[in-house]
Amino acid sequence: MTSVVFYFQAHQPDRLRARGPYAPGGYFDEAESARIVRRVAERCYLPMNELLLRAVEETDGRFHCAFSISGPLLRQLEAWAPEVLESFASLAATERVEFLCETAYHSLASLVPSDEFEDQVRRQARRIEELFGQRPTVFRNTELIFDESIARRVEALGFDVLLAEGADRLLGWRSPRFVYRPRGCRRLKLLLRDYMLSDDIAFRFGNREWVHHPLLAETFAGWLHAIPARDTFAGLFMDYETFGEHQGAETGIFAFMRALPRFVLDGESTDFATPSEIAAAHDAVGEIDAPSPVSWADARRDLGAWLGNHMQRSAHESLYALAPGIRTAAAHGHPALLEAWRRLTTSDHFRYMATRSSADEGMHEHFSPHDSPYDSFIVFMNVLDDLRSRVAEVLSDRIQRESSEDPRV
Amino acid sequence: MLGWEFPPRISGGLGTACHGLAHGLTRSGVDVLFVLPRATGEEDPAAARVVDSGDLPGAGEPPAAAGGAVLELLALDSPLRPYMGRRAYARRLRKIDEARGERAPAAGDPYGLDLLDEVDRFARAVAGFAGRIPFDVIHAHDWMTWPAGLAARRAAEKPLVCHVHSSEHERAGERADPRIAALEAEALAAADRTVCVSHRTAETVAARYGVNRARLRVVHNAAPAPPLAARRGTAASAEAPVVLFLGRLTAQKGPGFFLNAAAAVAREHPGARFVVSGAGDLEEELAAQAARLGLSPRLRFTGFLEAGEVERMYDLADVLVMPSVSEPFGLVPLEALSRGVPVIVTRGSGVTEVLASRLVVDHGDVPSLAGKILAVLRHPALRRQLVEEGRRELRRLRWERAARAMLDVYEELVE
Repeated sequence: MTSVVFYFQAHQPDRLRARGPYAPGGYFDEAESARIVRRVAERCYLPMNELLLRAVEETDGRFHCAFSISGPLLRQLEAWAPEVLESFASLAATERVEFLCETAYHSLASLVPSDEFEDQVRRQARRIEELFGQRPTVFRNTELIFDESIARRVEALGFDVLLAEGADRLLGWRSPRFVYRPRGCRRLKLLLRDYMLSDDIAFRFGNREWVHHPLLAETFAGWLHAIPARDTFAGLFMDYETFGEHQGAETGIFAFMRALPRFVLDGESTDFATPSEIAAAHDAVGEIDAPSPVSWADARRDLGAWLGNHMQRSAHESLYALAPGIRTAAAHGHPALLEAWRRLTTSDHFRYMATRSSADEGMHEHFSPHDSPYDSFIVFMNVLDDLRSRVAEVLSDRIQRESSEDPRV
Repeated sequence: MLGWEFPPRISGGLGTACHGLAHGLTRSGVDVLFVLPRATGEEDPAAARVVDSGDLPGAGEPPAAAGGAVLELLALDSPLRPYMGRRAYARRLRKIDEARGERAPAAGDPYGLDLLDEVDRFARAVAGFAGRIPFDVIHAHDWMTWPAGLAARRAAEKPLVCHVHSSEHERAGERADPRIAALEAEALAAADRTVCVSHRTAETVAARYGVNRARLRVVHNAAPAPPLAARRGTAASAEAPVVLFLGRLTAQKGPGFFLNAAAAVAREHPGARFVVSGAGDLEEELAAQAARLGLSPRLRFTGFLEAGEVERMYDLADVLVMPSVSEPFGLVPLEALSRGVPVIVTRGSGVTEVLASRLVVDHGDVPSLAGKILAVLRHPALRRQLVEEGRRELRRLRWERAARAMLDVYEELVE
């Protein structure tokens, strides 16, 4: 029996306002974020949640899947589309839908050796438990970024399972359809993405040039049935916005997903499972070496999309250089500065600065709110300058106060 | 090919573009006879073979060199240049007229009736030999040569390509000279093909002159081969970085906008220096504006720069601004980038259609331009990214590529 493991990533970034002067906390274009999240709720989140809820009901609970919802999106949904959170809660209540953990700000904190990563992960885990009544045991890092040191940090945080890209350079000759263990971990299990089958839905589905277009649910289920029965699972990991946004309703993506569960279950050889169900039922068959980070982005599956050029590295370094000052300010009665800083850690800000126009074949197409990667950098650095000067103000006030209270002065 | 200026004596992008395209064409196997209104005696023999009208091959004779394509330069005798600016023009004309013992043109006439006379004289001279020499296509650059192009077409019955480097509407907006606009309209209506340097210019030409889109083509300009490494480092001159404007000092090029932004930059960056290079009608007005803005101690007007001086200026600059109101293409940013200088241009400039490694501002948005200048001066990572990516792009933007596109247009006509 091979299990189909659907994991959907739902995320919307907080976009920066292009122009100052910035009021305290006023770095983000809330009107634009509200507009976009409402649109995506209408086109994707609401109809797709409804569709999946029916899938659970109509299969008598045999349809299972998993979600990770980013921290920025959770905040946006609370503010501007609470009905979406309610419908996610209905999915959680079926007990067939698992909610995963990630960093609370969809950040690249896992790449920086400070406690920020651990802080963000714990915070997100608490939120998921509050909202959906599940303590997450499965972790997915931002953009599926994975290497051995990240795996060790995730294991130390108490997670049982980590998701990653089934990249060729991790696997070599091996198949992504078995449970592995990252080198250096004792307990943590690694589930890998089956990029061929995942991208058939996520990227190729609506492509009229594709030899399999139009892809029918029956055809795709046939491919799943053809997987050798000894394979443990097929990891179909993709953006949730695939449904109705990246692949518009006119491509027939909803009809495809509505029909798919029945076709999958009609075969004797396939069923559905969540990541934690797979990990509970199967031991690791081997070890995966990952000395350098692997992600699910672009053809190269590396960090190039976020930290590949001078601007991106400079911006990321400048951001984390401000961390100690921000934490001091937050500890002295200015938590809003820390919150603003954390919202700047979101990976999308760095993605918008990407200049590499490598052959991505339209995959992972990213929409930027700014004119160019150069403008994205300038806007980010202007915001960071503003934040830095506010922190400096707070810290210098404090030093002055302390020295005036100090009897030796 | 009919042109008005050719290196080394050039006043603007037209000569540079003609030179790049003509050489690109010869490298693609096309024989080019480049006809100019006037010999300066300074033509670079390495750049092109200079011929005399008496040496031209007669009709039916084979082209000069059978072994490889050649570029020949034929300079007729005509003293005037376009885009000269009223005062410079009047000055030059006075000299010529004094030599001839004739009167100066009426003041307040931007081009002077005499320039139109020159255009006409050039047309007659070209018509005089066009029927007697062998060629396949007439290619005429900008309005000054179009009457000559039409005359040659009548004389030789060969197809005419009118190449629009800029139209009177783009140069002068609502203050367009009606005589020039009429001349442009007449030539473009008759041309077998109209080639524009950008899609934006093609749109203008289609909208303003009613050119049939089926006969309209876009061939983007290209860049000189970039030196292997930018001469200067990528770090901005920390203490006294230089912000450069280089172009004609006319309303179209937006030098006033540059000065306003410079004043805003100066308030934020006490070390920044500003250079305005170029000559034109607005010289005095701009000097007064700079003084009013308190920029004088930090701003230098260099006047018109000759070819070698331009390169030296790029090597001194930390950022180049092309703040034009309207820019059909804009070769200066490509030249600056090839010397390692990051560039800021106005939205809609033709060059933005082929160059992604640049910053863009809306014309007149002073805070935005000042902010972007400051960002380039402050962030080495931004400078480095703009220049590295830009030079990578420049390697693809070669004149050979423009020439191949041009050749496709010729082939449509010669079939």
